[in-house]
Amino acid sequence: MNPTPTRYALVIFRAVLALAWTSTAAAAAVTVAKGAPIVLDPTVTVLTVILSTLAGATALFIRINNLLLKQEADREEGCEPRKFVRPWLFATAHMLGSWLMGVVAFLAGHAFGWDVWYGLMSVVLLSFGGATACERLAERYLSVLPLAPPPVPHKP
Amino acid sequence: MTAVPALRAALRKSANRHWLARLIIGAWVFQIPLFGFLSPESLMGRALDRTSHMGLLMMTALLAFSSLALADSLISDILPARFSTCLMHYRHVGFMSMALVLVITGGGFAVTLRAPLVLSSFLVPALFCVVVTVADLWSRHLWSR
Repeated sequence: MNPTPTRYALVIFRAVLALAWTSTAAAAAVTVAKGAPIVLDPTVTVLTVILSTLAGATALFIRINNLLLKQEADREEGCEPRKFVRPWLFATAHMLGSWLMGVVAFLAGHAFGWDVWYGLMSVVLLSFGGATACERLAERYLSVLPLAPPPVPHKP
Repeated sequence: MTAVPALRAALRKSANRHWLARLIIGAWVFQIPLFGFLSPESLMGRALDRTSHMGLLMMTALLAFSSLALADSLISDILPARFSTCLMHYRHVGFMSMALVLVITGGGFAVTLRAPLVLSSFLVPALFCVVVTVADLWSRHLWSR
């Protein structure tokens, strides 16, 4: 079944719906700080952006490495190696989940006045968790576009 | 099935393409905590003195990750092909973890010591780690195509 533009748009719409819970979490984090002035330290803000990007990229690289290992195993078994299907879709899912959870961790750390070390570590852990959760959500709910189809055996 | 050893040899050759970059970044990151621990008068030694135990923990993590990177480079790239290690398949995790710890360490020092420029000496090797990881995965992807 070839995905048409309508189906592709439907998939993206479902992804947006699946990610809607993050705005609730962000609102909860901001509500905790209600009444206190929000002063953003530029260094910590830049660090949050860099760390959440790196954490999302780590989750993405782990996924790519798993696919490469499967391709190498397919080749050893004499099958046609499976292809990357729509790489931009799952790259976007990883990075979006990572950045959203990075923002949530940043706001939570700011609201609760965490120490800078713990704040930065929580940004990394939550961003990586967000990217991994988005990957699982994409595989669970966006099944109309499989990220890795089964390998096709070579014809004799 | 006789082609499998040849395939594995080709894969190893492809995976070892950027061995010099991995060796350089491993040694580069290894010396950062080493000088901090051994020389209290160095920049890193002074930064360690003025931060909490978290700075010490992050420097220890850096030492561990860079030691693993050097061990992987030594076993997979320099020693003969009969020596092998599973570290080769998890390089990307190691180098990205090293980049994350470098940024956390630099950020912690920059904020705690109120010296944002310190961050640059950690961001450059972190960027190098990311470039090495991408290059490694890309060369494996080209081989698999």
